[in-house]
Amino acid sequence: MVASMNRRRFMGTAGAGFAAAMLSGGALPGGFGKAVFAQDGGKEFHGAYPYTDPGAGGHFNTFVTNGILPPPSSIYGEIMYVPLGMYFWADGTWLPLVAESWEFVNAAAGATAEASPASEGGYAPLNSAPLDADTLIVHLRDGVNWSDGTPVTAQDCVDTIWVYRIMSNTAWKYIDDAVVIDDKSFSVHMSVPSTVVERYVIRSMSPVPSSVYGEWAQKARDVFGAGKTIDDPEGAQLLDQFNQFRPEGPAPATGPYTIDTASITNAQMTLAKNDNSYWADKVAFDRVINFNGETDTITAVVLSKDIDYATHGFATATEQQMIADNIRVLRPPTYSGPGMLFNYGKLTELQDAKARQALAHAIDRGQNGTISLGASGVAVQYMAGFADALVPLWLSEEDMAGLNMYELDQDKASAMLQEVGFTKDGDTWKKPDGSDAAYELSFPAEFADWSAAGQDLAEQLTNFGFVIDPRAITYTQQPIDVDQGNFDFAVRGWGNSTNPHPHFSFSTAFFTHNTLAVNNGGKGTQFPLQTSTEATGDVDLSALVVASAEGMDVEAQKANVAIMAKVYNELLPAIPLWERFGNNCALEGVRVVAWPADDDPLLKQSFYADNIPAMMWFQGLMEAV
Amino acid sequence: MEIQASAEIIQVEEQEEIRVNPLKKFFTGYLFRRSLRALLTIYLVSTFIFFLVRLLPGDPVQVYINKQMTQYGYSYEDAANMAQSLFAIDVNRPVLLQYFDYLGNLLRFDLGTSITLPGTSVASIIQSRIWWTIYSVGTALIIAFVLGSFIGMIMAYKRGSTFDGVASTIGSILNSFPNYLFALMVIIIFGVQLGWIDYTKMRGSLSSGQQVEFSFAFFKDVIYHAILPIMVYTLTSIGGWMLLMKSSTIATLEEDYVTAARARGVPEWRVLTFYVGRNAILPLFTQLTISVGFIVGGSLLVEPIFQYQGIGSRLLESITQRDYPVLQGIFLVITISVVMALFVADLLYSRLDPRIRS
Repeated sequence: MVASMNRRRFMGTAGAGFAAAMLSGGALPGGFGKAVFAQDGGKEFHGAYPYTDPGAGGHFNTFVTNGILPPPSSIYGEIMYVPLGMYFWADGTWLPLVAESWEFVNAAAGATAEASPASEGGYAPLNSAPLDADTLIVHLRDGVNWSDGTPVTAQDCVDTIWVYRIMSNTAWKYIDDAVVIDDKSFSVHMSVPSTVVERYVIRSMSPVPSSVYGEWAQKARDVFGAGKTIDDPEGAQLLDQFNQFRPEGPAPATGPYTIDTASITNAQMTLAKNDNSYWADKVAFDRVINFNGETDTITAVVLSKDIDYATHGFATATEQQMIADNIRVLRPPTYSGPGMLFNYGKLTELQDAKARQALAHAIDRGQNGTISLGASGVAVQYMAGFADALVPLWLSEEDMAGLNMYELDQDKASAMLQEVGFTKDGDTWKKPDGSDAAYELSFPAEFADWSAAGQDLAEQLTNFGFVIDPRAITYTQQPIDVDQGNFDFAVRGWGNSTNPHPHFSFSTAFFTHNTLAVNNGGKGTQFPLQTSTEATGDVDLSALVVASAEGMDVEAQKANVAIMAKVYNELLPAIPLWERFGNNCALEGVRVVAWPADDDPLLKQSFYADNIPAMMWFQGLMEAV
Repeated sequence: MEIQASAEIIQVEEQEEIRVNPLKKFFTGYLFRRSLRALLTIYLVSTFIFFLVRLLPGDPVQVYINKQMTQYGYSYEDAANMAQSLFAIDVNRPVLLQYFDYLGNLLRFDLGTSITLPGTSVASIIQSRIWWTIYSVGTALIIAFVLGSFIGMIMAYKRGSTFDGVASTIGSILNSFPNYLFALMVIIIFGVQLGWIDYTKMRGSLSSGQQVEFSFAFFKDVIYHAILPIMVYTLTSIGGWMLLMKSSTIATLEEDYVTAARARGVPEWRVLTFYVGRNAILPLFTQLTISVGFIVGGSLLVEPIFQYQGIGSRLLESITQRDYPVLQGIFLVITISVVMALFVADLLYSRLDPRIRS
């Protein structure tokens, strides 16, 4: 009896306590209501970018996986660790930031290290680069300090570049040394002179302080400067040690915001204003709240109007809801998208370019884009192997006029197929060997837009007379199948979102899933790189792709790019379907006054690479409500 | 005389048997057999898991490269360079050698280190996440079990009434609802559309700035953030308990001792609670025990929706990233908890029904 009473009393007390706690916690209706942020009256910007919180293994070594908000890949990493410069994709010029200016010189010719003043925007130093340049000299801006009050020096920048050596950053395929010239200048020597070094060093290597990373830079100089590589035991050991390096807190920052470590949870974190920053008076917000999570968990926060900007790749239905709720949708380009790949080793009937050209005429790329991603799926026009927006920057008007746009014309497609031996039996196409033109089309199941593209493509080609078996394969397996040569047709990516030089898009077009697959023990598409075209005669595509990024002669690069664009346009190793534009939520009138107008050049930015909010903040263009 | 002698012999044998019994009894006993079976199950399942996770398409490096290319538009070269520097893993090492390493580490109670979090032990990852899941899923299980059993008993007692009809329908609907779908509906309807709950503020396990400490503010915050997941788990599982308890109670109500009790004039509330309820709930304990075992792994899809930092969301991340050691570790913990729960259930049942031991 006593036990029974005790049990009852315990349960009663526990129940009452639980209810009381819920009430006091504001969980029951009396406590509901919108979150009250910025109780101190400060102005806040709300963004969203996934990160791993310290409780889940996140840390402050931003070079290593699960480092919290690392630059340059995360939007909010850039407003803490400001890059040397950012790039205007619309006109190919620069916004100098930590660097005031930079120049390419030939070291042997006795170049000077004097700074040439750069304007805030429209800076294009490559235009004056000597053709025999082998060194990049960078001059730092005066007045840029770390958040601990110490000035940013050339040593910090050089050490940063050497830390990237530990991480085998691609820049080190082109460079072999970085040294301090004076307190505010440093030089980077190019072992393989190339214009792409500018982007790797200026854009992608945001300086971090030597006070935190200096000893690692010294170790890198000791190991790699002595000729060792990452494959040598010393290099591998250094990499292993650096992967496990965990600074106690965030390194001092140059940007207008720094991480408030006490605020980090697995749901959100706060970036507090850094008053020591050179850009502190350019930003209108007292803090930035960054919400953690991928699309599935962020969508509801966006629809609750608690996020001012997010780039999560929202479903078309979500986008419609955003528009209905007066949340603006920004559509900057990604300079990439899905295309259709062919297995040339298996499908001999498609080895003739005319067959692929016929297919390009048979596909309604506009419909495919719209069905897949609404207004953000924009049909590719020039079919040049890289994004349409970059074509005018690299090709002359004459070259552009010579490109085949492959307009939808199924009669023309039929005639071209018949020219290469295909025949039509009723509504069904037969291969030259008389069998049905039956193919399997694979696409990644989990990418909603690519999956829709695959389904629509299968329907379009089936209606045209091919027998297409659409096959959704889990996104981790599908590229492996393609690399192994286990496919007929496949939806895979074209283009490049991180680097505006067409070299990288051509590398995707001709090497990825082709020679790189063979190098890794697979078969890939087996597209021949030694080939002949009507437009250019015999070409070695492998050599052309490499040559397109080498050297300092931009005009020579343009000539190579023009050849490759023509070759791509004629041979169509893959058929680009559409370019993925963003459907980024951009809330106006709540915390941010307004985002750039739809025709603003800033909305031509590749928004994962040179992100729009950061460029607005650094120029003082974003107003707080 | 002969009879007496044989009786003495039997007595001596029995005494000897009694003397050797403790050890012999242990090794031939039910407890030992069940323990051995449990250990064997854990070994076999962990071996199966080891090979199964490696059958997942793609390895951590390939998954990382493809993600960088597809999601962020990196070139293959950039992505491959990043992967090479981030993952100190030899994916080509023979699987059998990896397996023997795994077994050797397990014997030393070492679950290894994460591939995607270099230097972070799997044990620390599990330890940092598991309590959140046990708290949220465990609380929901208790609430759903207690409430569901109670409502189910009333439904059976008021069989055929409007209450029974309505409760059975609601129970069936709730029981058939996938919890992740229910979670999304709660957020969209009550959070976004009606604005009754502040989903933005309730996401996660703790509020920004709230330190982990032994204070009222901390516990209040923990409860506040767990309310939505607990509500979802409770509502999507309570229907099952209601329907189970209803059918069990109906069967019990037809027992002779219940009829006899009523004939003796025992008050109806006493019949309902002491005669019917106590007996009807016994079969539910088996289900409850199994559910307890699954607590640690029962939140795979719901936790990410609420950005709740439990073991389920970590498991999902590990599957996506092909973090083999973390996957193995979490599955091992789930296996052990389920096996132990069943082991405890067997022991309890062997106490309740000694026939099981034979």
